[in-house]
Amino acid sequence: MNPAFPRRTFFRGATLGTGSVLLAPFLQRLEAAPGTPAPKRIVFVVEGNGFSPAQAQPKSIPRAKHPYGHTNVDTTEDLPLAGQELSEATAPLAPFQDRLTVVQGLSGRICGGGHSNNFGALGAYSGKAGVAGETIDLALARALPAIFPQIGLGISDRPEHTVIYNLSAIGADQPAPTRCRPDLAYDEFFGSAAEGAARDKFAQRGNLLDFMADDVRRVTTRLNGEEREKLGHYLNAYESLRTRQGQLNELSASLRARGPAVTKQFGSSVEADRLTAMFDIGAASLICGLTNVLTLASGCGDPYFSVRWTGLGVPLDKHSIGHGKGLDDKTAEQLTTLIRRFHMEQIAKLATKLQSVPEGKGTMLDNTCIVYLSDSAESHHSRCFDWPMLVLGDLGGRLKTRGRFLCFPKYAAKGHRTTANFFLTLLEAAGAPRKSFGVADPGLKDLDTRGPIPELLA
Amino acid sequence: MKAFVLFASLAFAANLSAASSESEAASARRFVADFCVRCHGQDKQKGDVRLDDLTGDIIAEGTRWAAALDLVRDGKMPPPESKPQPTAAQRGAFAAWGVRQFGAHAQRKPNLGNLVPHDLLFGPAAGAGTNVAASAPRLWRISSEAYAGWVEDVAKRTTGLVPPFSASPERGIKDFAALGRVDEPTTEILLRNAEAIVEKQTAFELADGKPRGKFDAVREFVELLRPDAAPTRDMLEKAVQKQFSLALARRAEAEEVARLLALYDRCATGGNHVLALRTTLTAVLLRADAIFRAELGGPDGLLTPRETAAALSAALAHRRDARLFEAADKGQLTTRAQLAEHVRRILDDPKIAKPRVLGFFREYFEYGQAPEVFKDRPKDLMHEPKQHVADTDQLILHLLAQDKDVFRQLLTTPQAFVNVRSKQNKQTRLDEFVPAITKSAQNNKGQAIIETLYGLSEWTAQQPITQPAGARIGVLMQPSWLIAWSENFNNDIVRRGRFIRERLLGGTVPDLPIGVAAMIPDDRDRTLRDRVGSATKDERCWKCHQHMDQLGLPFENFDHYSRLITAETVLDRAVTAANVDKKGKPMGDVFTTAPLNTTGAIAGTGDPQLDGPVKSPHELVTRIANSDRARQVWIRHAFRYYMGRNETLADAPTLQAADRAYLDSGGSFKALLVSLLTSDSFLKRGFLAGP
Repeated sequence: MNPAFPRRTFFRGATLGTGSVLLAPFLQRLEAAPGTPAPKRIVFVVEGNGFSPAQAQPKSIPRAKHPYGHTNVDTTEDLPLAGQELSEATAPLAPFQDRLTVVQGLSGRICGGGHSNNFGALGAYSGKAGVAGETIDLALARALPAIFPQIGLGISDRPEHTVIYNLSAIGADQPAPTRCRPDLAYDEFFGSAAEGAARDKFAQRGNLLDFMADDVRRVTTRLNGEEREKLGHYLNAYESLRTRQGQLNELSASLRARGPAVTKQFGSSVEADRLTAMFDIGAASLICGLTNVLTLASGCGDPYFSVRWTGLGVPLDKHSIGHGKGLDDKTAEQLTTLIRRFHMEQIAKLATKLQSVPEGKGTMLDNTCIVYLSDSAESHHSRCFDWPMLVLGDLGGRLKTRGRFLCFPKYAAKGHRTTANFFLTLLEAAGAPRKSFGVADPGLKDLDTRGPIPELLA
Repeated sequence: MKAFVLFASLAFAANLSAASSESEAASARRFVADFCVRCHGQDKQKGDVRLDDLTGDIIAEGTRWAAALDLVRDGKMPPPESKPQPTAAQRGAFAAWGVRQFGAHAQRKPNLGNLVPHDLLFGPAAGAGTNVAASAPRLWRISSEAYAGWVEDVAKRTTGLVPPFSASPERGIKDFAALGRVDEPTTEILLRNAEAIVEKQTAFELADGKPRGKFDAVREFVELLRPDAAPTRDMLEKAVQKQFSLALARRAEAEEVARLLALYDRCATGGNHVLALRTTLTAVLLRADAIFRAELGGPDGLLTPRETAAALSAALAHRRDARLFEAADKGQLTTRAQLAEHVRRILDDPKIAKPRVLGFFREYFEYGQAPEVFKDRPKDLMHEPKQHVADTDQLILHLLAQDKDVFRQLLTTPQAFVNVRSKQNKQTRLDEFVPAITKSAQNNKGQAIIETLYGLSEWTAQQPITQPAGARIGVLMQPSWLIAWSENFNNDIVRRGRFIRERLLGGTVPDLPIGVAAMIPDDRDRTLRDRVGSATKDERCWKCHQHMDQLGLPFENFDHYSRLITAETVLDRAVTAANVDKKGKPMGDVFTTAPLNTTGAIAGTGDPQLDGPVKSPHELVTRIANSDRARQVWIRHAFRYYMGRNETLADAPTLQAADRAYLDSGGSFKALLVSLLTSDSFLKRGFLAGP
C-alpha cells in the first residue's frame, strides 16, 4: 500500500484558505479576456435520509402545514431572507444568507419515495426504475464542458467501497460513479502533480494508454451489436483517460514549477473525515478548472444511506435515527440536526474557498450555484409531497437567488411546482433550456407543470 | 414492471424487437380491442387504466403493455366473470408475443426470468418445433471474485489491490453476462492494480550487479532487470510469452508479440528499460480478453475448446482448472462425454475449491445477507448473524455431499449445524468441528448462547444435529435466512412472501407503484400480522400483496432474531398508561401476550399440488418441497446462475433435461449441474430467433 503521510496536512495545503500554491497558476487562467463569457459552475450537495421542511424553514417565518405534515399554502410565498433567522440545522450558512434561497413546496411524487429515490432523485423519475435516464448534474455537464464533464465524490456507509453507483447517471443504463475513497480520487485527479520516479511513470502511462486504446479497438472491430458496445465502454475509458492525461499534463507543468512536492496517503475510515476530504478534493477540482459540475453525495442511494456518523460523535446509524431512535441525551431530531449542520459547515467552507478566488470582476463564488437537497426528499421514509432545496449562489446573476425565501403552493394546487421544474430552471440558467426533464407526475396531469420556474430566473 | 420501463429507454431496443413482425403487433392490438377495451377504453377506464390507444410501440407504451401482459398471462385479466373470455390459445399467443417483445431484454437482466411462463417451459408442448437452445455470442466481464482468483493465478499472494468492480445493486442471482460495464473509474483502478501486480512480479534487488528476484518475483522477468544491460529481443519475447501464459493461459501470437515489443521500444527510448519492461508486462494484464471472458463460439456454432475450458472453470470456481485447459489444447474437450467427465472430476475432487457451487445457494436463498440487517443487540441472546451464515453454509455443503433429494432436503431437513467451525486435530490430522463462538462471562452476561435457538443448552460435538419434530426444518427456518429476511425491528413478512412467490413458485410481483408510501404502522400494541394486514388490505394494495403476504405470514412463530416463540408479545396500552408512580411519572412499558397465528396460504399458482391454506411454516415448506413446480422453479434459478442469463422459451429442452437428470439420479445436484453444463444452452452460440 502507499506510504503513510499526513493527508490532512496535504489537504489543508490544497485548499484555498491557506493561500495555497495550487492556486497561483490558475489565477492567471481565470483572468478572462474581455468579452469571453463568464464560467458557470454548479455543485450538488446531496445528503441521504431526507431534509424535512421543518428543518429547512427559517425560524422566523411561520410554516403552514397540512395535518399530514406537508406544505399547505395556497399562493406562493415570496419573502426576502434578509433579517430572518435561519433554522438551527441550516444556521452555518448564515454568513452567506445574502446569497441563499430557501425553496419550499416543491414535490417529486414521480420518484415514489422510500429510503432513497436513488437515481430518480436527480433524474425526476421513479426511484425504483433503476438507471432510467440522465440526472440533472450530468445534463448540466453537457452544457458546461470541462476536462471532466462532471465529478462525483461522496461517501457510502462502508469505508471499503471504492466506487458506487447510486445517484448520478449519464443516461439510461449508464450510471456515473460516486467515488468513495478520497485517496483514490486524489490520485485520479491530481496524480499528474507527482514528481521524480512517479512523474516518469505518469509519462509512461501515456504510452500505455495509447497502446491499450489501440489494443482494445482491434478486438472491438471483430464484434457486433451489444458486445461491441460493451467493449466500447472499455475502449472509451482508455481514450478518455489518454485525452485527460494530456490535459492534466498541461496543468501539471505549472503545478510542478511552482508547487511543493506532494505525496499521497491512506483514506481514513472515519466517515466525517472522508466527506471532509471529498469536499476538499471537490473544491480543488473546481478551482483548478478540472470540472464545472460537482456532485457530492453523502450516504445517498439504497443501500448506502445508513451511514454511522461516528466522527461526529453519533454511534447510531442513519436508518435507526430515521426511525426515531435517539440517544440518552439527544433525540433523533437533534441528531439529524447535528449531522445536517456538519454538511452545512462543509458547504460554507466550500463557498468561502470559492469566494477567495478572484474571477472576472468578482470571485468564483459569483459564478457558482450550490444546491443542497436530499435524495430522500423530505424524510427518511419519504413520500415526496415536499422536497426542500437550498440554493446558494446565483450563477453569475442568471438566477434570482440572492437572499430569498420561496414557498410554492401545495401539491396539486394552482401554481404548484415540482423538482423537475426546478431542474429545468437550472438548465435554463446554464444556457441549455429544455422543454421537459424526467417523467411527468401523473398525479398532476390536470395542472400545467411545464417549463422552468420563472420566479427563480433573472 | 420497472424492467419494462428500463427496456423502453434502452437505445438499442429497436434492433432486438425486429423479431416481431407488424402482423404480430396487429394481433396483439386485436386482442386488446376484443378483450380489454370494453373496460379500459374511451368510455370507461376501470382502475384508471386506458388501453384503446395502444399502438404496439413497446418503447413508448412499455408500462401499460407490461401490466396487461402480466395480468393476461396469470389469468387475472379479463376478470373470470367477464365475457367473452380469450381461449387458452389466444392467451398463450398474446403472452408469447409479449415475451418475444420483451424477451430479448428480459433475458439479460436479473430478477426478470419469471416473466417467461412456467407452463411454456415445462408443459408437454414446450420445446416442440422451436429453435435449438443457445446463448447469444457474448463477452462476460469477470466478476469481482473471478478477478481476485485471476490475480492469484497471475501473481500469488499479491496484496493491497483495490477491488475494481462495484457491487451489483441487483438482488439474488446477479452475475449476468449482459451486465458488467468497465468504465473510466474502473479502468483507472484496473490500471493501478495491474501496475502493482507487475511491481510484485518484477520485485528485485541487486547482488553483485546481478538482479535477484524478491518474494514471488517471476524468474523469467527477473533476468531482464539488469539496470546496466538492455534485454535482448529473445529475452523480451520469452517474458511476453510468460505473461500471456500467466494471465491468459495461452501463447501470444506473432502479431501480438510484435506490437508489445513495439510498445517496449517506445518506452525504452529514455533509457529506463526496467520501466519499459514493466509497462509492457502491464499491458498484457489489461487486455480485453483478461477482463472479459469471450463466449463467441467457433464456426460450428459451439464454444471453442478454449472457451469451453474457460467457461467450465468459471462456472464452478474462480481459478482456472489447468486440466481443462490442457484437454482443450490437446483436442480432448470436444464431446459432451468429455465435458461431463471433467465436470464430475472437479465436483468430486475435494482438493479443488468450488466456491460457485455453494455460491449458487448463497445467491438463491440470500441468507448471507443476515449480517447486513442492522439490529439492536438483544440483552438476553447472543446475536451472531455471521455464525448463523457459516452454519447454513455447512448445512448446505453437507446436503450437497450426500447429494440425495437435494431440493426436498434443502427445504425440509431437520438437520442443522450449530455454532461450528472446522479445525484440524493436531493428533489425528483430520478436520473436525469445534465451537466457533464461546460465551464470554464478561461480555455476554445474561445472554443466552446461540445453541438455545435450536433448543440446546450447550454445544455438542455430534454435528449435524437432528432437531425434534415441530422445530426448525430446512433453510427457510435457519436463523440466517430468517434474519436475512427481517428488518431492524420486525420480521419482513412481505419480502419473505415475495421470495417464496418468485424463487419457489415462479411468480412475479409488480414493483411498488408510483406514489405509494410502503409503511407498516408502528403500533406496538398490535401484532405484526395485524399491522401488515391493515396496511395492505386496501383493494389497491391487495392486488399485489395477495401474492406475497400469505406466504410470509406462516413464519410468525419466529421472532426477528429467529427465536422460536409460542406467543406474540405486544404492548398493553391500558396497563402501561396506568403504570405511573405517585407523581404520575410513567414507569415503563408493560407487555402482554397475544396468541400466535401461523396460518397462511399458497394461492394463485393454479397448481393443485400447491394451492391451499397452510397452518404452519412446516406445512408451507413441506408442500412446496414436494411440488414439481417448485423444484422446476429452483432449477430455473440454477440455470440463471450458471448461464449468466435468464431462460427463454428456446431453453425449454435444456430445463426439462436438467429436471429429468435430477429426478433420474435420485435428486443429485451434481447430476443437475452436469446436465446444465453440457447442454446446448451452455455450449451453443447463435442468435436467438425466438420461440
